[in-house]
Amino acid sequence: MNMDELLERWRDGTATEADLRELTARLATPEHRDALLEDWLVESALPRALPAALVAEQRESAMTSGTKPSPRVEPKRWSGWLHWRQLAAAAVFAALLGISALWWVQRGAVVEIVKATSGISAEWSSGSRVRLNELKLVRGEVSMRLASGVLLTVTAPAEVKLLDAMQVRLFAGRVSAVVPVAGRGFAVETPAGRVIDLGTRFGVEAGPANVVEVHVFEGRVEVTTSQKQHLQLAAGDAASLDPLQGITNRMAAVETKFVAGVKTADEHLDNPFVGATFYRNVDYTAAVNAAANLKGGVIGQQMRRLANYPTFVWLDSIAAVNGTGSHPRGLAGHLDQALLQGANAIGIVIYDMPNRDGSALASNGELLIAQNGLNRYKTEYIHAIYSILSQPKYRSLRVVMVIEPDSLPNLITNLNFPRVAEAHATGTYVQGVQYAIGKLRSLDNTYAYIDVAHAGWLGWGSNLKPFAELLKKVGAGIPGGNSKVDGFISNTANYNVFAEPYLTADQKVKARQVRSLKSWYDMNDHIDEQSYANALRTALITGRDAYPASIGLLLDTSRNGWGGPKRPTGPSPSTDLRAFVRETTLDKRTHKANSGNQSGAGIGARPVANPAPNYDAFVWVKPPGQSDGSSSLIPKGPENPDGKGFDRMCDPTYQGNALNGHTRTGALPNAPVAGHWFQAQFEELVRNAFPPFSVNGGQ
Amino acid sequence: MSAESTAIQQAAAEFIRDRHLLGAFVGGLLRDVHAAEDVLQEVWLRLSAEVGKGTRIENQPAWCRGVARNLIRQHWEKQQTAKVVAGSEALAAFMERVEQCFAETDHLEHFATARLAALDECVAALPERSRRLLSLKYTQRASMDDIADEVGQSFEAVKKALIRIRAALLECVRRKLSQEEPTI
Repeated sequence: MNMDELLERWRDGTATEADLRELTARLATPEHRDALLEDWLVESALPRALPAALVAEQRESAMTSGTKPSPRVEPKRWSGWLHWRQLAAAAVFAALLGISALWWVQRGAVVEIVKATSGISAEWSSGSRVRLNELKLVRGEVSMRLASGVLLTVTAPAEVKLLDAMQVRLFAGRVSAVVPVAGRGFAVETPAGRVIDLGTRFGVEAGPANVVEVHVFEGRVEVTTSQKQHLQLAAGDAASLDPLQGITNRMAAVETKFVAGVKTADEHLDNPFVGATFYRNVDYTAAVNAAANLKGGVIGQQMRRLANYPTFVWLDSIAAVNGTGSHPRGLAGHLDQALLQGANAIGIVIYDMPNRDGSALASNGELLIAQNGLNRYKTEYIHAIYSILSQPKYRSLRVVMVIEPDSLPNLITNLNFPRVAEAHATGTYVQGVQYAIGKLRSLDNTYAYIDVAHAGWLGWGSNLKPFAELLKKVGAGIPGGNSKVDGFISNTANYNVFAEPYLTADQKVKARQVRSLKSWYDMNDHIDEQSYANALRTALITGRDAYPASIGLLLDTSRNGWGGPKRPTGPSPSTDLRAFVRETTLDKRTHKANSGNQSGAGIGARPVANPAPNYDAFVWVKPPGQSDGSSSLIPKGPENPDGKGFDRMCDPTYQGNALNGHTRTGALPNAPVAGHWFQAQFEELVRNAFPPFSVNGGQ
Repeated sequence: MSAESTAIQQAAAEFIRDRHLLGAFVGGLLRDVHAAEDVLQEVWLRLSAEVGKGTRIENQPAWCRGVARNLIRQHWEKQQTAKVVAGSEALAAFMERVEQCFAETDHLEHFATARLAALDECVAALPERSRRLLSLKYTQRASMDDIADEVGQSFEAVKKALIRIRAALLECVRRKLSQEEPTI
């Protein structure tokens, strides 16, 4: 007999003593142990895993077909709950001295706490997930996101029971709800009737004598009274329901009555990645699937898995924001798709600085300082983004913004380039970043992470220190101050590793420090991103104009995997410094400054929140498979509709320049212009992914 | 706030964190959802009373399982209806082994949460009809006879269908666990 059959017998009570002995013996192996644990976990978790909508449907059909009513609300359970409440009151409430009464059992719903008034419960920090069954709030206010995406705010004094992600029972007090598309049909049961959402924001209050008020701020709701009266309320409408007489009054909605609750929809979080479901860029998913179909086989299967992960949307021109020209989908189009997906977060890149990337050519921008660039940046670019993001329907999305890759770093090392020198002399990069953050962060649901290049650019103390000073100066000049900056991102669209597992900067090979290798680390103080970003963070949160210590770090891990057969599995035995370092470091580029379509690179760690101390997340800012720039000059035309420039750093035949120590560029050949799909590179990134992608399951 | 109430809060937080596994332990042994809930409640009351007295509990999950085990035995003794006699050696050995199995996962922080997350996805991917059957059994707690009536099928057919759906769910959970990395 197999394990599942034995478990089935135990569950239905037909197991014999022999079966039991057999089962006991098998549990000695981890495989069978896990089988039992999984079986029992599933059994006990199934009631809450089943969707609520279905239950509601069942109940409706039971009623209309005249069969016996559903036993969902069982008298036994109900009295059990009261009994429980009394006991718990004695044991817990007294001990917690006026702290709100909370209890969780197997029923209820898992919610993510968006914001709780301090002092309600130590376990309810923003972003924490708790299973909540009943909530009696003595004081304060709690906003929580349900699995359905509904943002529910409970204002004290209140007593509610969460039946599941789609149904709440309100006994007394006030709740308000912001309901995304995925949460349509969300219901609030009250003593005087049931309120069903049809896509909206609304508030419900159960007052004295069980008289209930329903206020609709946006969209529509349907109300069914205890007497089976039906009523639809639209935005601006409110109604009063009496448990015995039904609808007794119609009036105008008063949002201020619930305003505290509604406002928390925009509450700013310390780490927006916790509890977030990020938008999967539909256009990127389509490109990935097309690439996978083209390739087929095992690699094709691995490619398809990329579609499961979120990448950032690059707003690299005014047309990209508005969805004009060669950009069929603008920012609003992506935000709408995010809402349709039921996402509560999206990543975007703010990247149209005047004289952008003044030290590079493939990614240089459309705006020029000499041609009224800063004004156009403010009015045509940043303001256009602001007017889209500030629409009420996007308020439920956390918008994570990467601010202007490479601009501020250019001011530290690249003043010898005329366009950077001009940006420096006019203060354009600094003012542009300050304006962008000040304007966009005036919305509470946006999050700003300033690009800080990478260790191989600014890791030397002689660069890091002035850069930290520059960032402090920038922060101090942001309208609203430097607390508007949520953090910093390193390695955007680059190839540097998070940490080197097999060597350290100070380690010596034949009395020579690893960091001293001229052709590679060149006396850099920081040989990986974790060390660099933490050193920068420390400099930023201390001294004059210090940033708050709550700032978090991000790392772009989209292309820093360096897997595949060439990945070292331990330190090299070589006693020659150069051989030791190059055989031991994960990074297989020819020079740290090479950053165009690098040969041998792979996809890195998957996007994840809280990956390391001080880090808010690992993210994929650069969508893997999009070219960094063309490998040869492509004139403006069908292959280059935006007339993007040619940067010889993307040309594998180029002999290099002072920026990369006159080495070969290590770029892949036959690359299309920046941002266009580069199938050969995508294939290599997938092949060399680390951790590698699994092939089974077809996910 | 007093030291005792802080300790109770901490105990509550830990209890909440581990509730899925304790729930599975109690529910799996008892196989009666109402009795299991009573036991869980009683475990918490005893735990909070103990912590309230100032007792330091070294290994709370193990302590809770121990209390639950004794409560389950008492429940069975009262019932005396189990096919397997409550006092049998085979049952005692089984319980002991099961308790050990749960203890082995105490250090695996995401053991339960990873499986529950996978379960949510797997339930969502089930055909409508399968979900309806599960809903009747697990959410509405209808009897097998009532479910058979409701869907217009024989008792045996419903029973087989439920076993099949459950097996498919487990298979799906295991498959997801073997391939999914954490993501945001």
